[in-house]
Amino acid sequence: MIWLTWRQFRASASAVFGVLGAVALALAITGPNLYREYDALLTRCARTCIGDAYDHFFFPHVGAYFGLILLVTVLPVVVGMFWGAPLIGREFETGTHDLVWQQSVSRRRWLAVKLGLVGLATIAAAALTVVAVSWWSHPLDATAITGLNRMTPIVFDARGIVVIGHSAFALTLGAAAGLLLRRTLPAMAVTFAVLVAVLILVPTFVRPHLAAPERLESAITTNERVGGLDLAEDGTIRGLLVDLGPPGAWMLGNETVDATGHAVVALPAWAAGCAPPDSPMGEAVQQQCLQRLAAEGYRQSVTYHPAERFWLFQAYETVIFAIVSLLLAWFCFVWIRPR
Amino acid sequence: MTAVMRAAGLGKRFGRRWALSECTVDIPAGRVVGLVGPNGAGKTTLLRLAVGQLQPTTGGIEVLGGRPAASAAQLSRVGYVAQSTPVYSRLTVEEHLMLGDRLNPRWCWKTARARLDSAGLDPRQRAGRLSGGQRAQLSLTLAVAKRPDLLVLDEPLSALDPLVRREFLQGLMESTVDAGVSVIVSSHVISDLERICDHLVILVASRVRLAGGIDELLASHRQLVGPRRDPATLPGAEVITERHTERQTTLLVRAHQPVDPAWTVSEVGLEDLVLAYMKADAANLSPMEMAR
Repeated sequence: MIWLTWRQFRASASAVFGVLGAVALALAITGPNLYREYDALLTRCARTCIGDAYDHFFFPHVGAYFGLILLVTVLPVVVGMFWGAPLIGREFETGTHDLVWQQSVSRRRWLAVKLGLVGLATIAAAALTVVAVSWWSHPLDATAITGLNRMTPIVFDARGIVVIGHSAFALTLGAAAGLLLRRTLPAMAVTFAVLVAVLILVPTFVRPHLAAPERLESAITTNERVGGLDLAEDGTIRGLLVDLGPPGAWMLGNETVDATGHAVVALPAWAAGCAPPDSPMGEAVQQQCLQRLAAEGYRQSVTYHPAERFWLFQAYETVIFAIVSLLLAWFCFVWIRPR
Repeated sequence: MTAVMRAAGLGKRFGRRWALSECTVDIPAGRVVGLVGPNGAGKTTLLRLAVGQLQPTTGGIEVLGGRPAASAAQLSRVGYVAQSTPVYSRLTVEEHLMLGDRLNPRWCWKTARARLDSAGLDPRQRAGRLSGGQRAQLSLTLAVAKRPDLLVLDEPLSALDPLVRREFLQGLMESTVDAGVSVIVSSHVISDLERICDHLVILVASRVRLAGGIDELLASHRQLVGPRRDPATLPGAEVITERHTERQTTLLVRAHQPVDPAWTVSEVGLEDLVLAYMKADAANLSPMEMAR
């Protein structure tokens, strides 16, 4: 059974591992150089020159940086569509279930070996990719702009053990779809659609609630961290946008509250002066405006998940996806019996 | 006589359509059994239930004394060639034999090699590039070399031209007769079955219309031709079909005792016999049953 599984799986396995191996090799070759550049940057400006780091280090590598994030994000989709969906679906499609399930091996054992071996390959592929990409991207993660810290969804999804959870889920989802639909192509389509939906919905609606968000309220008296105004479509000012959370935090909410602690519906029209000025001359005006806001009791309130929760959230989400994967696998074992 | 397959009240429903209903059949061991019947009679469904590819909706079925596909041991005792003779198109012929070897405890390389040689199959060829006949030969080789006690073949001949068909049947007989394997083979082509089978089961609309050894069946059926008369008066014989012209009556009967010498009596061929039972059934069915 192991031989047969390997014989059937080796083509699609070599395709995926071939690409991943080539990428890993390229990273291994270019990585040391990147680290040398990073060390030089650190000695040059001792972690103080944010602008310099961004302009001369992060920005020149931004293409490769996002390319690798995309690669890691796409991996579960590829696993689900090309390893998962054909696993059982193709047997039905080509009629070979009439051949292989008539050998002296029960369907459940057949499935156990198939899911077991392809599952191990999935975990290996995900682990290899994450380790290689995270190592290479580390200097860039360290110099990325605040909006791209590793708690933000697109980076979070491409770092750490959660990628293994996503991939295992994709594999079992594809297998279950193939078992239900009995054809490869529709199973691939369903797998793709469900995976994309889940990978968008989970960071949006589930991940923020894995723990109670932290909340911070502060009066804004200086313009240092004011990023702009939160404008409604009709031009009313709903509040300020202030970069208030601790560094590396995942910002969930950023709103201006009035003296009674309620969220502002609309700030007075004069608050337009609090916007970052076009020229340095306008800074005094902005400063005045901010002080007037503070004097009238307006404060800025932010909700966020701090950077320290990265591994906690990674663990939570991996466990959730592992449980769902086990449920899908269990469904396959139940549904595969003759019917 | 022990039964190789025994079904009682067997039924299978797909959605709202019954592919087989109330099927009760006993098939003796050690025989080569031909299963015939019109399209939609439930032959394929019955065979798929027998090998455990389907689960019955109602009733029960026992094969070699066990529940079909209930265990690896049960699976190892039954060889099955599906109607589409499926093979893995990306695997070579040799790799199919390796598959058979690794997945079957009783696998016999000698049988497999001998069958491949006589069928003229190149072990290095990819199965996807085989002709329909060669694919059927490969499927049969896999089913035979696992050395089953029962071989189930679902219309394995449908894709083959007459020459290949004859070679296939010859190969089938060579590999099974000596080993004492029971065989159940379904087919439309009665002349093919006549060549290899010694037992016949006629299935019409899920019901077994006739079952028995071919020799006994041929011996007990006669065609009678005589002046036109009412057949109900015929003593000691069951009338299967009757055909009347103005002056003459032709009957196909199952006779239990010598018939009235006034009739001109002649023997019946297997094909006529089978067709007579299929036709009789179609005529006897009520409109409601026909609709089903």
